Amino acid sequence: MAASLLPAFCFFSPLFVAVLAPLLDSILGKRLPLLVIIGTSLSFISALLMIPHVIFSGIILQSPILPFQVNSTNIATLVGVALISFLSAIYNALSEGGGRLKPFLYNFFLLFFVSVMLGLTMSYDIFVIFILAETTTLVSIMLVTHSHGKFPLQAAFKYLIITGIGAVFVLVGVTIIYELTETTILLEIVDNPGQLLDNPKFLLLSAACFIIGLGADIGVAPFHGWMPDVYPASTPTVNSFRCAKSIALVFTLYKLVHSLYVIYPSSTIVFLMGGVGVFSITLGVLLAYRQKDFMRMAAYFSIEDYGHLTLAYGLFTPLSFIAGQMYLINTALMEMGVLQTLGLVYLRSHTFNMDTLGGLIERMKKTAWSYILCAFSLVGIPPLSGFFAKWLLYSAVFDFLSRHSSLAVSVSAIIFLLGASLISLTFFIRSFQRVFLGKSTDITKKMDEDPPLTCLSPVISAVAAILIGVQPQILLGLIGAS
Amino acid sequence: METAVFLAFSPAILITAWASITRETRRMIHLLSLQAATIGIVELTSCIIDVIAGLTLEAFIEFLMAFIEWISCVALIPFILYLCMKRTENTVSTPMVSVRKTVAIMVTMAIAYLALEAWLLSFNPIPTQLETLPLCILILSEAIVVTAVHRDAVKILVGLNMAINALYPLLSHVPLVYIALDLASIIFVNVIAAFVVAKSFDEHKTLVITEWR
Repeated sequence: MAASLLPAFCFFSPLFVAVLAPLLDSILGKRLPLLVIIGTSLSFISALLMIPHVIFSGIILQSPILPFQVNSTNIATLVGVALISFLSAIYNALSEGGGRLKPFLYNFFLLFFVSVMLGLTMSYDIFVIFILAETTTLVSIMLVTHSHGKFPLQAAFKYLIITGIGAVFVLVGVTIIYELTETTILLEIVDNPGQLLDNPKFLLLSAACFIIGLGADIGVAPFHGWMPDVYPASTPTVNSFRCAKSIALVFTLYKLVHSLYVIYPSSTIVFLMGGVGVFSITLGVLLAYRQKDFMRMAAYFSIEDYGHLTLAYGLFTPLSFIAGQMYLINTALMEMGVLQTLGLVYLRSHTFNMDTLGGLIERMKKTAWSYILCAFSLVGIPPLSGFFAKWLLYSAVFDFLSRHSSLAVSVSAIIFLLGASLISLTFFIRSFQRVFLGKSTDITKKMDEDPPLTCLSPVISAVAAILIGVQPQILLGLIGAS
Repeated sequence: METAVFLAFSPAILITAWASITRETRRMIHLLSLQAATIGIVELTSCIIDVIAGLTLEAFIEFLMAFIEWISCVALIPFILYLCMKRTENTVSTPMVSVRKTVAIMVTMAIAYLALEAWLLSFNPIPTQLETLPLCILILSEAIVVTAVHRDAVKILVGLNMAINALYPLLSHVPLVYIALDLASIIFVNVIAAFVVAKSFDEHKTLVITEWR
């Protein structure tokens, strides 16, 4: 372990730039989104600088004052959060059209959002995790209100109440652990669980509280109530930034529940995580299939994907961890690409209804190709990046079930997961056909050509889908599993 | 569990249950303040005893922090909600669920509370530091019912704050820095919530969330 200022720099750089936003508002004017690019690029660079130390030298980087640590388990998620924030910042600069919040306040909240997400990924103090998870969600709620119209306010209120109750559950879990171990540091809790081992029911209760509480923040079923409203209610930029939030929160859920599983390896914890995962996959995929609104479709697809993640992380095997990490980063990156392309369609058409769209491939060539590549990667079509993520996930599930149950159960589980992916493939192809192919409609006829730079960020995601698909070692190396 | 602990928390249990059938927003805010006061007074009294018995700086700081937390929950947060109500309206509306059904839900919860305590006791005695946990979960469940049965945005927020207050006894041993951070985040939640409610009221001219679509 080595003391390093890099974790603190990674956390504070967007925060410091955020504070500058109100001060530089009058000077920068419309160029204020440049500050978001600067803030996110600083944190991205510092995350990249940590890779040689953590991956190649095997050093654990510990921040001197803050309870932040970067090690081989969280470096990939940290880089993932920083990369998605950076790409979203570029997208923000090119496509943000204003909203309810004043520009300096909006850009301040974007940077604050990035900062707390990075902190959440690096933190190993249970109370700091709680505070940062709570703040991440609150800032996200604030950003939802940025969108014009009546609907965002209703969505933001729903989001606030569901995640507010979720936060109470997380606090119950955190307090139980603290009261029984008298420490707040997660690694110390695992090393010296104290009364937690003597009271396994309290341990299970806190695991359940984390799954409910953070599940509500993430948006896994049945705690997903806010998701289908918040996606269409947010601006495309906010939706894009929110993809980084899923990395931070899903990894946090794993961090907390895995620590409890190490202390008391109970099948109940696996059952809880797996149960929520399977329910989320089923509900998400079935509801996404019937949507006419492309943002709602994306929201339900996200619920399905978070289900896959909960299932993967919830098996607590070394292979399932690698599968979970690969799936998490790939999903967030590709989902960002899908949401950004759909956002570009919305910004020009001002509708989410797929029935009123069509023939956009002629006008938005790069957007259309980026969309379908990212969508295919999410579904797991070879040779795109998602294929390896799904392959690893299926291997992990099959390996786990074949060791703990019969072959029939293992095969049935794989058939179930394949079925869910096939349904996803169907609705993604259908959405592509409805939005980009076919004849132009009255709305799409009036739309402009694709401006050259606006789809830079989704194009990067699409290129990443091909690149990681051909060379999965790039991501596996970062996860530490190559 | 000691009978004294149960007796100390019983007013808070009753007040939270009462909030689920209250019709007026202003009264709901009063109930929130009262619930926070009754929950916090137990902890505050124990801190005062520590200060008198020990006369140490540490005990005094702990008392001061407990007092700040108590006053925030009793006065500051209800005040934020009160301002929100003044900025919008003081509605008088019947909850979505009838009084009879609400009482039935509360009785079921009380039975579930007994079952939870029995389950926790079946393996080991409940550790002393967590002996208030089943009661906190009971108040928390009641507060969730409060948020679920009301359609008025401010009343829903009162329910959310009652749920947060329910955890007050559990946080008594938590390091002071974390209490301060937690308090700041609760205030932040309420400020954002008041902002969203006020803006929604401006747009829709009503606090009934079912009419916000």
